[in-house]
Amino acid sequence: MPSSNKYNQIVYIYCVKPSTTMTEETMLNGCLENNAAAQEALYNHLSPKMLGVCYRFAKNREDAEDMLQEGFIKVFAQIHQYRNEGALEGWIRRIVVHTCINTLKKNKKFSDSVDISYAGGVGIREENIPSIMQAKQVVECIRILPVGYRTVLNLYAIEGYSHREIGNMLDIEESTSRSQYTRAKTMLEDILIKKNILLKPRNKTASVLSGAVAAN
Amino acid sequence: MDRNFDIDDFEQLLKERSDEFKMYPAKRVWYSIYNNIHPGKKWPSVAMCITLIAILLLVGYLNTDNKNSHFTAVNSTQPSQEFASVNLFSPFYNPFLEKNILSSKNTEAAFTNLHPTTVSNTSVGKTKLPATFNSNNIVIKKDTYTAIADNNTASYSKSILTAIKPIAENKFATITLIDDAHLAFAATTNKFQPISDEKNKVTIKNDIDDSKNERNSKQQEIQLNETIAFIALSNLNDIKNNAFSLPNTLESNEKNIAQQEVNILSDEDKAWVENYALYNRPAPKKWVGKLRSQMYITPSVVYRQLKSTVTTDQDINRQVTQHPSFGVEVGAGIMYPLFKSVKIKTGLQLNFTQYNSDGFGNTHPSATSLTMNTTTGQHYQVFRSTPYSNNDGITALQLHNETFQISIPMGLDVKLAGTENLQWYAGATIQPTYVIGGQSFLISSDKRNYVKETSMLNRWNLNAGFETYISYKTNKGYSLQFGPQYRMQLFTTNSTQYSVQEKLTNYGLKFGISKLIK
Repeated sequence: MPSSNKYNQIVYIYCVKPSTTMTEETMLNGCLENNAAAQEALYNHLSPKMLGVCYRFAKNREDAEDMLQEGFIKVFAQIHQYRNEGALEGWIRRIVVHTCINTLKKNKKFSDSVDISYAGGVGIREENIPSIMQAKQVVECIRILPVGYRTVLNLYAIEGYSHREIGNMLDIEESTSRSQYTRAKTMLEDILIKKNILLKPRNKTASVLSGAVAAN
Repeated sequence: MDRNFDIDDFEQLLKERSDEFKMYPAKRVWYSIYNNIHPGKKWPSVAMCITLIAILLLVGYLNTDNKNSHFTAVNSTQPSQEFASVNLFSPFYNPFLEKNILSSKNTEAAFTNLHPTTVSNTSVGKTKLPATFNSNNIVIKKDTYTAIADNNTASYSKSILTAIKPIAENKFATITLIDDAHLAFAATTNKFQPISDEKNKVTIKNDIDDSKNERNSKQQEIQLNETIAFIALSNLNDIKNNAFSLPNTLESNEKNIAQQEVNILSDEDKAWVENYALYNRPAPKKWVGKLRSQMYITPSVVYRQLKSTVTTDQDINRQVTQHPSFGVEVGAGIMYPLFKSVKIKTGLQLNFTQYNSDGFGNTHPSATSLTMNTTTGQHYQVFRSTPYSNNDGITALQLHNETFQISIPMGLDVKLAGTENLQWYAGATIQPTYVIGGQSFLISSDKRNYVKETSMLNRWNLNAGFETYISYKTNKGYSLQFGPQYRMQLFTTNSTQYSVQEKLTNYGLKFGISKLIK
């Protein structure tokens, strides 16, 4: 808990305004005091990135915003549990990712899709992938994947969870997570190559970036 | 995360690009989060919505109930004027319903016997037109129809219906239904020409549309016992889609009909017309004579009930010593009789509540803590220093917990029994309440200290009031009310974050006086 000094509290309540210049420590202390201005500042600071995370898991933007909303409510409700061990952003990101997974698990189709051995192919056409910023291109390519593949790939390749953790989170076997990831990776590589985001590999790997992406 | 980022180029690409990706959420997302984590602060908008909806419903009800209104078209007997202005009465004055009605003496028309087959949806007192009106050779549809009247009776045989239909540019047909077997038909220009000035007699002829019906060529003379009204159209659009009715005292007589003699207005109706119609007086407002203003004061005794959200706590009401104290409610409002024995009411009310807690004052403050709730049902401590003790200390004190509130009671009273002057009512109100100020002493986590923490007071709350009272009407038009009242607070006095929930209940005696608004 924050300091018991009453004057410190008064400073948080009456002087803190939503501002992008507010330090992370100030925002954290304000959030611990349930100060709305500090909460809004923290939200404004992290919500764009966290919405990007939600968007990779969600079916559409509306679902992603719902996930973000639920995630931040949990963040503000549990902020006193944050122990300053690691970055605040990382702690919030974990809550948001878990919120996304819990939301997806409520859908029976999702549970089926992460447990089956093969989710079927995805027809990739040029118009499937909007030609916009490279970061969005990659994210949109990930979102083309079937939901089971997409989720495992998001968790393993981007969020950094192990297959054992993913198995626990999604209630699947560790081996299933591995096989899902392998297939997801193959499918995503195909998509990225078709979109000229990745160059076709001459020998083993297909991980040479195209000029457009590499230039970014 | 027990896996380190040992990733190849492909995964590196994914992570870098994904981390660069940002999206900006809609503002509503933050509002939803804010309302969820600060639930008490959305009360202003909710209270405003409730108030606004209540006002709109009341205004809408007063504006739309035309049950007792009469739309009446009557003639004027002003010989010097070709047109007399007559108001069509409605609960609220509507300038579009004011029409020029031509005197019977200035009427030129011709009659024929036609047989209407159907008249449907004739609404009395409302501006709703019949969908279709058929006769043997006249079909009046809503599009071509400009005005209609009937006599406010369910019996169609007694109805008088007048319609004006354009038959050519600047030429109109006036159709008057005498009863279900006779229809008066007249074709004319946009102004009727006076033919006869003889009192109570009118000659009606058709000099425009003779070819349409051979009976129209016959000039017929109508002996009028009283008067007859026709509508003149100076501007067709002005009265399009408006309806009006003639008084239902009209006597229809078969013999007179055969002789084309129509007695439209009784003496009573004429008197009514003279009193109101000719002077264009706006109709009296529906609420006038029914709305009552009320003032009241309710001295009360205020009790509190405490409840801890910490499950391990003992009954907190036994761990503190508290005394009820006096409060008061003062208010003013209005009451409107919705039905014969049901009145709705609203107003503005000021409340003062207080109760005392026994405590002790110390010279030096001591450190203590308050237990707070999280939204997930867990608890944490907030530390404070306080000079007030619950169990022991240097000076015995009475700690005054008090609030000043303003509320908007909305509810209804039901008459249970009574005579004209003495009545027994039971009533209930819901009271959105704003706490203007006050002070609150919060019990510490260990129940040993009190902490004065005014900032924890909930600014918005909701109260419910129940009362029963005797109402006595005096000779001067006042009503005196007296009876017991019970008022309960529905949400905790302090923030829901504080682990001890406090709800106040007031037991009072209400003294009120009300008077009819004229």
